[in-house]
Amino acid sequence: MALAIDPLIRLNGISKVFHTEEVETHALSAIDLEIRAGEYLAISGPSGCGKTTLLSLLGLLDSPSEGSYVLAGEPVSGLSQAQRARVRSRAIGFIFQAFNLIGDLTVYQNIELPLKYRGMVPEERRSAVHGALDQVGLLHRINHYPAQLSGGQQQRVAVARAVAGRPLVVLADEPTGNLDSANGAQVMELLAELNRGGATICIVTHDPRYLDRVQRAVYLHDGRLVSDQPRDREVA
Amino acid sequence: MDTLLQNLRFAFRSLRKSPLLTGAVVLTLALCIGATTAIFSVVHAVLFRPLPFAAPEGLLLVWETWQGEDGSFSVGNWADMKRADRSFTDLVPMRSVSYNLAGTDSPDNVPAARVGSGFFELLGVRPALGRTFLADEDQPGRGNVAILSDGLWRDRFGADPNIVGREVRLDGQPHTVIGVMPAALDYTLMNEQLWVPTAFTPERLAEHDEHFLFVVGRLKPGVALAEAQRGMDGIARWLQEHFPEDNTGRGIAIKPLIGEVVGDYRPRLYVLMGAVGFVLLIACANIANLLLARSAARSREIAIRAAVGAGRGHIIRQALTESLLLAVAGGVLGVMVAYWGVSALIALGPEDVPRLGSARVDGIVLLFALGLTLLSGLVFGLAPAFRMAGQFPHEALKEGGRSGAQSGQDRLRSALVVAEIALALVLLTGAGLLIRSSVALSGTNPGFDPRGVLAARVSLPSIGYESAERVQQTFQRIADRLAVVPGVQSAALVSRAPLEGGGSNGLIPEGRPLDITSTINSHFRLVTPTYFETMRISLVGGRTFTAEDRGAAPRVMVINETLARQAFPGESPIGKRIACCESGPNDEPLWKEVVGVVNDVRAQGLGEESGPEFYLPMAQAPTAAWEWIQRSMTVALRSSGDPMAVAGAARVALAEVDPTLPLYNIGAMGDRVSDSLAQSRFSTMLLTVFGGIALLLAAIGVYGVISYGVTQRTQEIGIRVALGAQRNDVVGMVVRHGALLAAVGLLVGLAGALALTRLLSTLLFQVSPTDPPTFAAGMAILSFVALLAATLPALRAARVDPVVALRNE
Ligand SMILES: Nc1ncnc2c1ncn2[C@@H]1O[C@H](COP(=O)(O)OP(=O)(O)OP(=O)(O)O)[C@@H](O)[C@H]1O
Ligand SMILES: [Mg+2]
Repeated sequence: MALAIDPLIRLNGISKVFHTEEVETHALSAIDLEIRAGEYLAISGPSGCGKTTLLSLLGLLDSPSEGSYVLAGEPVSGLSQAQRARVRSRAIGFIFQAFNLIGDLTVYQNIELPLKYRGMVPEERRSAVHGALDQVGLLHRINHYPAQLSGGQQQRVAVARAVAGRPLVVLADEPTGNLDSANGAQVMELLAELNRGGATICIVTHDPRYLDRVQRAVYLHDGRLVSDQPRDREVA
Repeated sequence: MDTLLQNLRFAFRSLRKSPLLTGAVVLTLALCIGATTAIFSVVHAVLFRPLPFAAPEGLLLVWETWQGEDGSFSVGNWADMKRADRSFTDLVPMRSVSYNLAGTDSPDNVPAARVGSGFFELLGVRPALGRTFLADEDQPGRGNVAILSDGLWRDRFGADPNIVGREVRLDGQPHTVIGVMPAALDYTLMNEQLWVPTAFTPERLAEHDEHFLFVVGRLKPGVALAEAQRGMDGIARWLQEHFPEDNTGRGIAIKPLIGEVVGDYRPRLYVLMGAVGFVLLIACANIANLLLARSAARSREIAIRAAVGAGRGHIIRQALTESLLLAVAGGVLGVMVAYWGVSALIALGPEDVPRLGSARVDGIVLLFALGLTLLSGLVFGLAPAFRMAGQFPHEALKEGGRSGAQSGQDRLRSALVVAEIALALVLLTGAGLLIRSSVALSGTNPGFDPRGVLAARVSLPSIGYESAERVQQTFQRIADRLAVVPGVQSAALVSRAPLEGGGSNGLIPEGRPLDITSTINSHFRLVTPTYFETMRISLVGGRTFTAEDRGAAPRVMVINETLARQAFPGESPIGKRIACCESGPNDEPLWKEVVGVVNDVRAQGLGEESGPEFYLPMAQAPTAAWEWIQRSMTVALRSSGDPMAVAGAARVALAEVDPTLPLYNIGAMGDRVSDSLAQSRFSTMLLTVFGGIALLLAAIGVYGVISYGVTQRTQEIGIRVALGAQRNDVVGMVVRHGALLAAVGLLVGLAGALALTRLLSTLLFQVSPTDPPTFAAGMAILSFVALLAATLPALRAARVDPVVALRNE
């Protein structure tokens, strides 16, 4: 599953500047970061320090103002929009704070969506969706609509959607932000389990309780990487 | 009252806050309400306004029917019917004639009517000046009195208040003016401009064979139409029994007068009215959609108002006040548009539509506009109002997510757009069918070549031209003289030129029993030998007439192909004989030999199939024929240049024969042919304009809904892009939504069009109401435009930044 390319992700001198109404916001400055396959990494830091910006660059939703980004050995910082969309659908799994399930689609259709965009054939999609849904324990909800699920269940569907296509890396921006602590813990447990299964996971969180569960935590401050520490993590 | 004022003030302020939306809505409404009102005022003037007679609903036209067609009465049949009838207060004969009117600046010929003495009493019209006819003024020898129409009195007599008692010369004969009719009577029945009493000799009253009378009647109070018809059926049977040689197969039909005056225009006007109503409906759907979008945008304001205690009713009232305010603003402007539209319709409309000129924005039309305005306000206001009231605090204040009300709203908006597309398709196919008909009509070969031909009428008065011989010689001299007018290549006389109408006669081909059952009713034309050459009607077999076909020579006739087929199926008609139009001293038939067959001419109008038709040489005209055609012939002059250029020379030439004779109804045949298409062209043009507007409105509707949807779904689109959707996926998704709306709309519209285009069938020519190519074209155009309208927002959707998926709070 994780490819034998080391590191999986390499950022060199990444910076991101937003230009708005004569104000320049340096959201990220000179970020160097490597993520190995199979790693479980947390990004934290105070509000506005650039966590979401970093995640959007990692997820190829946006391109950096400066610096290079190599994903699985391929330089991706200069890709076109269409190419980035293609890489996203194959290599990246997203989990959002607000779940971001599509209300008009069933659980099944939500999970299937990125697989469709990737061009997977229907039979493969079906087994991938079923596998992912089984992993998050919601197979019995396969034909429900998001509005018929609790927040925790919705986020578990979102996790299934992120991992169904077996992406190189799963990116999650405060996946527990909209959940109560019990549901939050359940989702974090799910992510840990996925990681134990070999998935590379990168989450944004500032909840210290969850920081204990990751292998490595990086801290951002004012758009700069100020600390990068391996964490002791109990392995169950 | 206080709350109404408050509501109004609030509505006014809230509309002023979105001037663009308000302006667009008011303008759309003004145009659509204005157009609908303008068309209505024409419909009202032409169809609905009662005839200017007392109790006009009781007035009927009585027809003699033969072979399924309504036709005019013979004098004998009329007299016998009048004697036997019990259902009518009176049955007054009326006959269309024309007089050379002298005693004014220049000789001219005016259309007139000879009427029975009770005519004006029957109609219940009193003269503006003088009196009507006395009971005995319709006796032979007593009829030298005339009543003028208002128009004639003004145009030709300078509205002389002392006109009564003055003498005018009609066909050279002195008549005393005894009255002037009110203006309301102008252009109501046969466009006659003066009235003279009929005078039937005892011989005429016994004549059952020649049919030229219109009969107007009024039902006695309490007599039902069906009862009167039964009475007439009895009289018709009596006439058949007593005059079998003339009346076998003839019946009597009674029809409401108003229908006979305006009946032909009904389908066309109803279609236009329906079409413009559809356009207004589409506009209302569009406006409802705009307001729905706005109500969604205002949901927070509404929710807050509801939270502080505004009731459902209050919110609905407030919303409706806004809608009605919009409607009234549109309606007021719309009435102005209607004023302008009515004058445009009168100016551009075909000339022969009865009463079109009297269309105006009057009280009834204003009332209609008011009703229409309020109705529109309700139609486009109700849905948004209830939608607003349905947004209760807990729903509207809820953060994020798509609530049930939201998707319900989408469904309503989609339904509105589907309705727009459906209505637009109905209009487009209707317009398409009319366009195809128009094209087919103008491409129809009329059977003659109207280009370069000048036509004008000459009428010989009865006084001075009593003998048939004199009449014939005079017309011969006119023909000879016209033939040498400089610039004229070919000149001819004909009793009625194509598109001028004309009479018909029964004829019997040799070999069939000599009774009415063998009779073929056939159009009749008296012509000089050069007629076929002048009109470029081509000879199919045999020969045309020569100068030798006269008096003592064997009687000959030329027939058209249709008559040839009907009279002599499967045989060559040349050399065969036909009996018609006159009989010998012992009542034996006088046979005429068919010497030639010519192609069919569409003489009743390009849209009318040619019927059987025959031509007789003028030099062999039956004596009675001069009376049938009232000593009037049409001059046809073919020249190489502008046909009107020879009009002056023709007038001079005629004056050399008899200076008192006017040359009237002068016109180019080519113009007449294109004028005859004016009706079809005009309604086609209007319907095409309506169809175009409908298309535009439907496109705006699709654009609005899809574009609004894209705005609403920005977040969702961002998520999809974040999950790997390509630009094409996004464009496809949005366009598919538009395509779905279009497909459903087209399906509904197809059903509607299939059901409704049947109503067009009387207006169509050589195209079926379900003509597949037209339907296909309509659907193709509409799909194309709908997809185009959906593509614009789709391209916007494709530019959605996927980062919004991460930053949605
Ligand atoms: N599109 C944008 N245009 C302008 N400035 C932006 C844009 N996106 C982010 N920023 C700015 O970049 C900086 C970093 O933002 P970012 O969302 O990455 O912070 P964050 O660490 O995720 O904060 P939070 O914990 O509150 O989510 C902020 O100052 C923010 O205002
Ligand atoms: Mg953030």
